[in-house]
Amino acid sequence: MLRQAWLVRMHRQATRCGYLMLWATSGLLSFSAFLGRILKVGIQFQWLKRPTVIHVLIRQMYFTGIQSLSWILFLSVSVGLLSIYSLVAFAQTIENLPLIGKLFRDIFVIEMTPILISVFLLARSGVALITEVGHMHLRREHLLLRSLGIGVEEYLYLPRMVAFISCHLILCFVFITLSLWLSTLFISWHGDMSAFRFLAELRQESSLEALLILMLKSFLFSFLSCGVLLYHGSRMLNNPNLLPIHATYGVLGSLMLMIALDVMIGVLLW
Amino acid sequence: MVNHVCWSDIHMKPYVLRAAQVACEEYCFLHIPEAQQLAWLHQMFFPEQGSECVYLKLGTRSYSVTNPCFWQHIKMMMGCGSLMANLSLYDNLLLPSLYHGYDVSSEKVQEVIYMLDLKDSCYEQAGERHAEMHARITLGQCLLHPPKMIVIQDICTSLSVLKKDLFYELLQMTLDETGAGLCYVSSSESVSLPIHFPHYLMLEPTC
Repeated sequence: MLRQAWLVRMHRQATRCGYLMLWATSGLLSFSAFLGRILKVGIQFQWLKRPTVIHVLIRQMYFTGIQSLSWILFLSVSVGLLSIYSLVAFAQTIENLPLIGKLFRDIFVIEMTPILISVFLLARSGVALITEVGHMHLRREHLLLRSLGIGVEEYLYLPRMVAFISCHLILCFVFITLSLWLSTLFISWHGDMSAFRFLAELRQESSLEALLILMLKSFLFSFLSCGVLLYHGSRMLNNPNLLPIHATYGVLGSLMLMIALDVMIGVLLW
Repeated sequence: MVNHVCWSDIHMKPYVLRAAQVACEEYCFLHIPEAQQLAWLHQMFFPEQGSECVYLKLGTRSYSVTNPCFWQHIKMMMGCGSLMANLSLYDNLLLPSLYHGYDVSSEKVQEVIYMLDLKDSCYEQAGERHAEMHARITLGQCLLHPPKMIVIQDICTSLSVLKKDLFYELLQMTLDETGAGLCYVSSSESVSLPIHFPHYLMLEPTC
């Protein structure tokens, strides 16, 4: 009797596991197909000839990039300056100044900057992106576009994705440059170290490899997080009550995906 | 040479729209209950890949609904779904022309704006607008790039008498100027527009 009950319980759990696996697999396949359709349109480069698509791209770049600059300045003053100063202070404490360049490259440039900018963009532009696309689907604007013979992937998703990826990369460089400039000023003003010595230490450890890793991380994080956001936005159908749920899932999903990717890249590089 | 829009049987439980063909220059009335209109819209014009049932026959050539050429000749007016909310009315008017690269002169655009009485509001953001504005912009797009057929989904039910008269005037002018056919879809058995529809189609119950 007990064995039978145990078997029934195990069967139920196996069914649940099976459903979960099927749900995850179908979700992954559907997400891959969605990204594939956007990439296919992207690499055909027909969108570069269409003024309406370029118009959307410019608007998105203005919103995601230009309007974020004041926030990036704030982040550079608060997070950037503080973290670089802490690295310098740590290296001075253990009396190992050549460590400054290595810490700056490995911790600040490779690890901290892409994640920080991704979280910032998710919080600021990501929520706006998913809400806008979700609203467009609720208002059936995707059907309107199809009825006008306009590719939904080309007009709705691609310019937003291109803007998100390029702004992410540009903002990463702006953040690093501003933080570096501010921290150099601060360190020399504070008298801990001369600006020349500080920059010389950084230069010694700078490498093309670090720059490439930063660019790769920036591309992967922004591409996948924007993909998840657009995917969740595009799944809005008739129920406006689902919009906040999809927005939460989209932002959380992007964040988790980025953290998982960061760990994977870290393990691969190690 | 006569051009046709043809479709095969379209099933919308518990009804079916029988296969038919309508000449592009003709006027046709399609009576579909409100509950079935969304299913009709999806199955007829926005089907899944591989389940297309509508074709546009231009002479010897045939275009399925998934072919962008189909939409260059068929213009849809979907109730309150004919405007992109985050674009201005002017951008909405020019959206298909700019995307497809149609040759439209600025004089023609100004003329259409004047005809639609959009001079004062054309740079306002579309946002939420009355059905009449959706209709005006769609008809403006038809005037800029004449289609072979205009499909209108039940717009008159949401218009006041005065606005209905204005809409009719504009529609008649557009039909005269473009020579396009008209397919009017309504949940009412007749529509109070002074247009004669030689073709009257309705759903049949499935057996």
